[in-house]
Amino acid sequence: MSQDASQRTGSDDESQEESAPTTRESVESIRRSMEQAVENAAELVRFGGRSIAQIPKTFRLYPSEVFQQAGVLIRGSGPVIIALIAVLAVQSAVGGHYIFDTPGLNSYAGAIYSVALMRGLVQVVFGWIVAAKIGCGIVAELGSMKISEEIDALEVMGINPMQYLASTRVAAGVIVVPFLFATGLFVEFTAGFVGSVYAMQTVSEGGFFTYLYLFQNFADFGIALLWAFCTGVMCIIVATYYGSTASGGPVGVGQATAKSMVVNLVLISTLAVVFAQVFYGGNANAPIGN
Amino acid sequence: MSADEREAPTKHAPGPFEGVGPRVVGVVPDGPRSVVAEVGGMIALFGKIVWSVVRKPYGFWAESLDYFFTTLRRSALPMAAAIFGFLLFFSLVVVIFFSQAGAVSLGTAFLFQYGFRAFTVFVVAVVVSGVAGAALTTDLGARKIREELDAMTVMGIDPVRELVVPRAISLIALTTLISLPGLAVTAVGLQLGAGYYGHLSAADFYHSLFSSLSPPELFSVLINCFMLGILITTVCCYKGLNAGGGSIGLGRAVNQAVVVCYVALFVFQLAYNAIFLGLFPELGRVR
Repeated sequence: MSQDASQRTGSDDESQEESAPTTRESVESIRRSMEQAVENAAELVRFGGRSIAQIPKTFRLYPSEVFQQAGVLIRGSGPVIIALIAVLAVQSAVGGHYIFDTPGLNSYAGAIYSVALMRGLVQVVFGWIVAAKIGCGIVAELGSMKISEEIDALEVMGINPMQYLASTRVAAGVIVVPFLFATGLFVEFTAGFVGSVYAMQTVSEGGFFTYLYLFQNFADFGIALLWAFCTGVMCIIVATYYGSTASGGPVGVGQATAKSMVVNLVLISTLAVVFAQVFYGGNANAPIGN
Repeated sequence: MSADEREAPTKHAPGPFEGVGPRVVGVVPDGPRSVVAEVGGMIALFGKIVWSVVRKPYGFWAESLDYFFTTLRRSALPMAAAIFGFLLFFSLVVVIFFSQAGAVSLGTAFLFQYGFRAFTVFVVAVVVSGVAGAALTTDLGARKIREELDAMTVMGIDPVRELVVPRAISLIALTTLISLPGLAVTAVGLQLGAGYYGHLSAADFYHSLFSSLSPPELFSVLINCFMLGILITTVCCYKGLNAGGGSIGLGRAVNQAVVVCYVALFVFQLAYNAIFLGLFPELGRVR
């Protein structure tokens, strides 16, 4: 997938001008691009591991920078994330009304928010918005620093850019993401309450809360939090990687931003399949039939 | 002579930014004003694209096809992985739950309707805007930053006609058409989930699916995706054409394009679903 990504935004003129490649050449190019993809993935994993390993040092050396980044995340990206989760919940209220109304399942409308949404949808949508708002912002910022050789200047001054730029952002994400997601869940339930009870009048207030809390327990909340935490921090790590490896002038920054978005979208979906299978594959964790 | 010169500054003709209207605009705070200006710019760009296509509907179809193929070749794999991974996981989670409730035979038909109306369209639009839309913004923005667009304008070539129209047409077509494989994957994912977890036979599943599915719903999905394609294309082209401001400018343009696409998409989907289901409530039901 990343060999696609790395060539995606490049030059379409050259590829059209060159004559049709022979079979051996095309096999060779596929092999080379696959090698490149594996190398990129290994670099990404190594970079992520190193930036996580540096977090304790970062906390000791640059605590103010960590908390400043956390503040930027909360003030700059928090409102957008929470607003979009609220829109998602209201949309589910509208769709769920027409689905649940016909067979007379009205009273189960509260379960939309604790089953369909809380077991994956909110986490995935959260991941999308984190990738778009926080991730692309980090790539643009770090990439332009890299292009204007500010990162090299940091190194000359004896500051480890990995600690000062990458690890601070990852640490800020580690601090902020769980709280942001918990707030998002609260907003999701509230928006769903407003949508289902007052706007669509699918269910009564008491019925809503009965089924909302009947279909979830603390394990669900823990799984949701872990899932969102992994998704959000992964997006930030991918973004710092693509930001600090950007090259090729201003155009390179734009290409790195688009590439990080592609990689993040694929990884979010992959992580969702893994989490759903691991935590809910064998055990629905529902108060029915067990 | 000298008196005239002295009085001249006080008696000048009103400039373009004087008068009541501009003063009122000047009072409006920066945030809302820039939002209105951006939305207006996007609508103007879309109008320009449509006018260009309608007035001379020839000369760009072959290029659109080429660009469609290029986009598909470059982003097919990530889009397929993102869309199909999401749909599979969503189908599995919900089917597991319904099978616990013992309502698999009834539930899957609803799930398909709910799933495709709300989430297939949604994930298709999100992934297209994140993968192909971001690439489009990068492409146009790179040309803007390298001043290729200015050079084209100087040579008397309209960048909207030459660059934006083929890309816009191909991206709108891509968004519309990719919903069909998305629907197929939703159906297959639900069927696998229902068979594996709910022990529902494939014949029963597809019988209940096709007995509750109607052509207007499929048309509605296509129309919805077409509208979302227009939205994504307009936002991404506008942000690309207006990129600028050094090396951080292009990255920021891509960032803003994706975020604006997501916000617009979420709000649009809410409005579309509410209006569509409100107008045709019988389509949301199971027959």
